Amino acid sequence: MIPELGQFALIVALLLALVQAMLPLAGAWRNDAALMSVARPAALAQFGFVLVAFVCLAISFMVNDFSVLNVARNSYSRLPELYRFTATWGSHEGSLLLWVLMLAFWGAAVAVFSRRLPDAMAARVIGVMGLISVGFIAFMLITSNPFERQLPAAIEGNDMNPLLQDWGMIIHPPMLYMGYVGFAVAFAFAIAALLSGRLDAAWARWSRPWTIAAWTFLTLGIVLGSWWAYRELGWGGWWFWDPTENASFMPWIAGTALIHSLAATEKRGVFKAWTVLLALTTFSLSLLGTFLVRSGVLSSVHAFATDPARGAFILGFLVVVVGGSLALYAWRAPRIIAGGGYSGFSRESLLLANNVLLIAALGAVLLGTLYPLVVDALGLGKISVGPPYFNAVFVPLIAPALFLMGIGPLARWKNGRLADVAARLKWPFAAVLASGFALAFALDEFKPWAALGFCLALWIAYTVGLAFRDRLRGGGDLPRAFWGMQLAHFGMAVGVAGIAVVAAYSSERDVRMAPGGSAELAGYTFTFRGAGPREGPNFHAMRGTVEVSRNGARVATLHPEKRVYTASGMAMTEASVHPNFFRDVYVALGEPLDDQGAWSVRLFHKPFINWLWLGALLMAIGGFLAATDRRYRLGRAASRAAAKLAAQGA
Amino acid sequence: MTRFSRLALFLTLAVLAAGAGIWFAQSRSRPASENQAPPALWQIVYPDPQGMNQSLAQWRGKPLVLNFWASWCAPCREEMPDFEIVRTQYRPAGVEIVGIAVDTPANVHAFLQRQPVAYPILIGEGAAHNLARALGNPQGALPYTIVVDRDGQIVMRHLGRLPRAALETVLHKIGS
Repeated sequence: MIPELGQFALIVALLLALVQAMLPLAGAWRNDAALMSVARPAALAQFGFVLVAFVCLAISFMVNDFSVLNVARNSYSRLPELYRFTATWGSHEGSLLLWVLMLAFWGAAVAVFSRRLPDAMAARVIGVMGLISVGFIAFMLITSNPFERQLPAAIEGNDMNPLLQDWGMIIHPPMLYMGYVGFAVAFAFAIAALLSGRLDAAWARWSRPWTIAAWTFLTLGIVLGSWWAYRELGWGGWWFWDPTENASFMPWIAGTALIHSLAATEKRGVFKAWTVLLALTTFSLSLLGTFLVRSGVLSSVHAFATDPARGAFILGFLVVVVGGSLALYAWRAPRIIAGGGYSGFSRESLLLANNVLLIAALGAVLLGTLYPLVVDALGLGKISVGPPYFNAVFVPLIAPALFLMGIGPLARWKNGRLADVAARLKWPFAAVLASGFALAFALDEFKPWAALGFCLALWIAYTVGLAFRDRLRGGGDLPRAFWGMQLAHFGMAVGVAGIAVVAAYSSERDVRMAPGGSAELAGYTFTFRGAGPREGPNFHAMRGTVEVSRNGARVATLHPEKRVYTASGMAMTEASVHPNFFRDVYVALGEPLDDQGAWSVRLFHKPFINWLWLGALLMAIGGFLAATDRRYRLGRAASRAAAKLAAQGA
Repeated sequence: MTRFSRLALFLTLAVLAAGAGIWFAQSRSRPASENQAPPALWQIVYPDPQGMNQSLAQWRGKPLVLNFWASWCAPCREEMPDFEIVRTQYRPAGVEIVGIAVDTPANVHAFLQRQPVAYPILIGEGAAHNLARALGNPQGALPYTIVVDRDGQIVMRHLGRLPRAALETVLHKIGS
């Protein structure tokens, strides 16, 4: 009963999405207020029904209804309750339902918070979001129905993929999808602007908070994924340039370019066409990411069952959305009137330079991600371009962008003077250079890449401080958006420092350890106390005990595990980590080596790794502050006041 | 200039530039003597997973399959079992297969623990990338495999996962 209810709710949601798409768009076109007023209630109702469908699926998982194919394949009666709930989005079908739920949520949020938007604009934005919903709900109902029954029912489930049984995985997909799908709002705003021809500072101000919010979620989603991979895969790596990682990283790069370009469009009315194009690109890359991960063209943790119909549907949808929006752009963009001018050295030109660098880096990542797929599709063999390619192309493009990131916020809008900025930053630049190299020399071994990372991190941190001093001297208050921007930039500095150290100074050892034996790594002594069995709710584990000490003083006792999940028979490595502000000590069990209780053990010393997560967290907090700035919320009162003034004047 | 002719001009320029780029890359990547393995190949020394230095010269004069791989490369991992089968088959004919890892020692160790490989593995790190380039793999993608015969002639270069049958055909020709 419950699954059928969910299925029915999903069908109703599809119909409501059709209504949400068709009527308001037609209304905006014919300037019919009655049709346009359908937009908001339709968006809210669509969200309501998708939510009902989602809850129905979650209930099916919670009560172990193994007559639902999706539940039987992805859950297990002895799975802990929390994971039974998160298994709701652990499968292909379930994660699509989560995608659609997020999309409907953003649509509803636009409906609620768009009261100060002109009706035609709101109708167009909500209508475009409805169109996207139609595509995805239809995709689910046609190719990936999460409520499909199997009769007779299975007695027991196949269990959730053990890799996903981790609390990082509980929040990674929702955050990532909130980000991916949030860019649908930016996309809808861009399409609405192209349709209406209205592309002004007000338009940029409306779309800014939505775009920044989506970027914030995506940042959190990516970093959670990275954190999960670091802890759960047992390889001690945090970024693999894996196609699925790139699939989320590409919209992030484009989104980063977009939020900066939007700022220039709002403040100075420049880069209008470029901003719109970036908004289209960002969401298209989100869809491309969905296609890559969901169609099964990639084989990795994320790719679920391969079904050509699914791939074909998403590819078709991708072609329609990307092709359609680019065609609209080609047709309408020439009408966009370029805004004010700016000189060769100004905040605009620096933002533009950074945009170009980001997009070049994006192109390099896109090429490296798609090239092996294209070669494979053409039947020229399976190849792989890995970290060597990505590091070689990405770092040289991003390093100058990080350098410019320090200068940009200090330059004036419209007409800056290079000589002023140069005079001001000349000595600090020399000091940063000197201390960056000194830091790298102070560590055990000089590594040029680490020195570059230190210099860039110090440079950004210093200029953030300078921006605060300027602002306080100017006597102005510090709005949230200013805090947000500076905090995000400072987070980048922290993250860059973390990456520089962890990439250059990590150390690891593979050792054979017999009970009582010990090994040294990076000044720490690891003593193996043997491994014994432990029973988990849905797995058997061998749990090792490793005592970590430094100069004779006890630091921690770690318990890495090797688990075998009962239902699927999959073996998993559960690493054990002792973190602190400056380093992680990380131990993973390898294989048992003999009958005497010896194991192969992997030891890692990861200095500054936590700076990376901290930096990303600061960036996300910065994004949150910027998105919730009062300026965006007070727009309604301000515009009302302006209307009153205009009325009085007339 | 009308919009259309400007567009046409841009398109022509783009096509010309792409063509020039491809030609340039191709002309640079072709080694001078097409098929003779560069003498420098036989001077190369890489460590094996035990840390002992191994010279490629020890396989000179034998039919040799050099496979460039890395732990992060999925198709490389997939083709390794094939290489093991082919090796047992052609060992009597003097054929040797050597896997050169374009990867860090730590990654290689971790990988070999999960999936042991019977044929010799050398750890070339970043330098092996340049070697693969010099041997005719301008893209630097993996896996890349070359086959050298007894006279030091490169009789096959293959980018991407190598079908077992193709390798067997070549080895059959030069092995006996």
